[in-house]
Amino acid sequence: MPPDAAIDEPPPPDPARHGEFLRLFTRYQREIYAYVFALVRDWHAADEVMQETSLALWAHFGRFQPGGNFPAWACGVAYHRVLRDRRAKGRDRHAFGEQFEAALLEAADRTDRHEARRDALAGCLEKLPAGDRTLIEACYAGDGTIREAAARLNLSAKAVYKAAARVRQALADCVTRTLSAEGGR
Amino acid sequence: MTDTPAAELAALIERLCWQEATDADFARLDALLVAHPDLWPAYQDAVHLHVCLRHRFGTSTREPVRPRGRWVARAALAVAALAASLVAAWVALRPTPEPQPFATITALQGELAEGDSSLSGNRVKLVAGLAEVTFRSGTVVVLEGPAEMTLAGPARGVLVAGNLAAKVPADAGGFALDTPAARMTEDASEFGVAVMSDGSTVIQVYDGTVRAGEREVLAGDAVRFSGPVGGTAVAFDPARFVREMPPFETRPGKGNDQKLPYNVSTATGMRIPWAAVPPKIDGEIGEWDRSFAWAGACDPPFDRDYRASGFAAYDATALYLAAEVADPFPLRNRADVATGTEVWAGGSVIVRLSTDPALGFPVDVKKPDIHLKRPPTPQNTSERLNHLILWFSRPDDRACLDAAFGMDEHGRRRNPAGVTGAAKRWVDGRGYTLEYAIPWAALAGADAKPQPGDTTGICWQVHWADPAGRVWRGQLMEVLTPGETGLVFHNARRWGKAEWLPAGGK
Repeated sequence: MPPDAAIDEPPPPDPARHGEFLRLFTRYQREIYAYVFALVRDWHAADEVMQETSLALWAHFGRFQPGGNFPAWACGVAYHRVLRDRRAKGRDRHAFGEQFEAALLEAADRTDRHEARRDALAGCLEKLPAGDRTLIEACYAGDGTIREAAARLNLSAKAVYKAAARVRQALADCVTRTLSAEGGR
Repeated sequence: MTDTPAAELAALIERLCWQEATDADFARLDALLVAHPDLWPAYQDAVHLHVCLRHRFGTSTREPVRPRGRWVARAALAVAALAASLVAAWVALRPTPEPQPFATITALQGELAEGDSSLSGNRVKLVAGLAEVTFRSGTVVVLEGPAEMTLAGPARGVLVAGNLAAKVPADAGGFALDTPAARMTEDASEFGVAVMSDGSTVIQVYDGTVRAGEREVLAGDAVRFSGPVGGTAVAFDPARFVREMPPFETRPGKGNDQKLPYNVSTATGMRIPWAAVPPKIDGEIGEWDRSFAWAGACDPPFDRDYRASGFAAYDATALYLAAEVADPFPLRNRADVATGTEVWAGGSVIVRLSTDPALGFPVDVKKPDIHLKRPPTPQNTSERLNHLILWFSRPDDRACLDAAFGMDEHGRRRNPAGVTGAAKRWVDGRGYTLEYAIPWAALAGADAKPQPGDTTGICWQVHWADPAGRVWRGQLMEVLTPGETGLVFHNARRWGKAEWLPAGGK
């Protein structure tokens, strides 16, 4: 994991590796974003950190060894961006203790397994009953709030809340089953 | 009350993901994860699942309650722009605090996403159609929907999605544009830019020179970029971009009147003859009996250039349709077979018809709508209510058919197996002929067809488009039942009478 100070002095990026970088970044951007969101827990803040992180990743791409664990490396960079963002904004709402920070760094090392989960999720979505599929689509369309989804589905917010939790749990179980069946991670 | 740390975590995650978590929830989440580090993988997995679903189903055309969701494009933009200038890229991408918009919408023939008309957020989201955006520096951009552009300065834009054509006047002091794959600057030029679905960017220059990264793109050249370096030459297509807003022809009247067809239907029904000999599908319709056709024209002064006639016939195996359409810009529909959407808008003929006599005439069904307490029924979702779009794809040089069924227009499919079609431009270049054979098997089934003597409903719509074949400019509707109102794709009672004649019948 690079120390925070090192982030300020990146070697110049090698333009010849730009294609390689774009491929990796595009492939794992959801995993990096999920890691960032897990830390900052706010969509707006996650968007901001993600932009900062994308810049930092390219700036430091010279440090990344070809064939290495890109998502873990990228999340390590993102982790420092989160800390920097929090310091810059002077916010301390979710202060990270030393023990907690260690857990965050361990979490960064786990992100590579999420690509397989994403692939499995695609198959699980195909297997969803039509009603559940409609519900989950409605929940994530629009402004992404249960209130709007409830209005769209002409249901109570409480009912949608419970149903969405049930469907997501079903999807999570399906992903786990799929990976187990494949001997996956 | 939750009774296990895992269950409590699950409840907290739900509130977190739906933007309902409180400060107390955040604190509790931290405490839980510190006390039970073994919960971290479950927490990560749940958040990852949520992010994936949000990425998959989240929409970009609505203004969110909170800023959200554009990070993919914005981050990609940041990465691409880095190769040109890291600092400048970040300045371009950050929301600007300046209160006044950097540009104004000076003409609109399309639909903006809600809340964007003033450009107060320095962002244009165009759902469909065209918008002319004039930057403070004087550069004029024609944006083609669906498209999204961020105004990053008085002479700077970020095209996130869609197409645009820009004219940069000599006194504008230049113009800069970023896309996910390229950054370009211009002094005095006219050029078009398309952000493709794969993230690449096509730049086509009409006048002057555009610098894209290390490369100069000259007038008459088109180049595709997949990143800020390199670039591959592609064919220059003069019609690739809409470079000017087309003049908007309106009929007398205001507001909704302008949405009415440019004609008053003269035909209230049509007799559909039995085809003793199937027509040869070649775009030549000399063998069709004109006495069974309807003929209509738009209201003056458009009646000379915008006319149409429609033909239908049938036999035991197929439905046959043909249309002659006077059109100053014939067969220019820019939709392609593989990806085209809203294909009717680029120039088309739409035939809506019932093939089921049991649905009666008038066809007393309307589009199902749960908000109007009109649930789906076997009648309004019948497979024998057909919506057939006859259109010619210029990119694929092919006569096409889109079919959908029921008043909910379900089951949409393109060029079903067995359908043959032909399109032919008129010799004078002022119109076109379409001709199709559509097997019953390609619709509701080989046995789900009208029988001689049946009476059902039918109506026709002709759409004319702008010269680029993208935006519809006017329409004609024929074979309608007088006195009925509503949209023909909502209310089948508007459809006129279709009489299916026996062999030799008149």
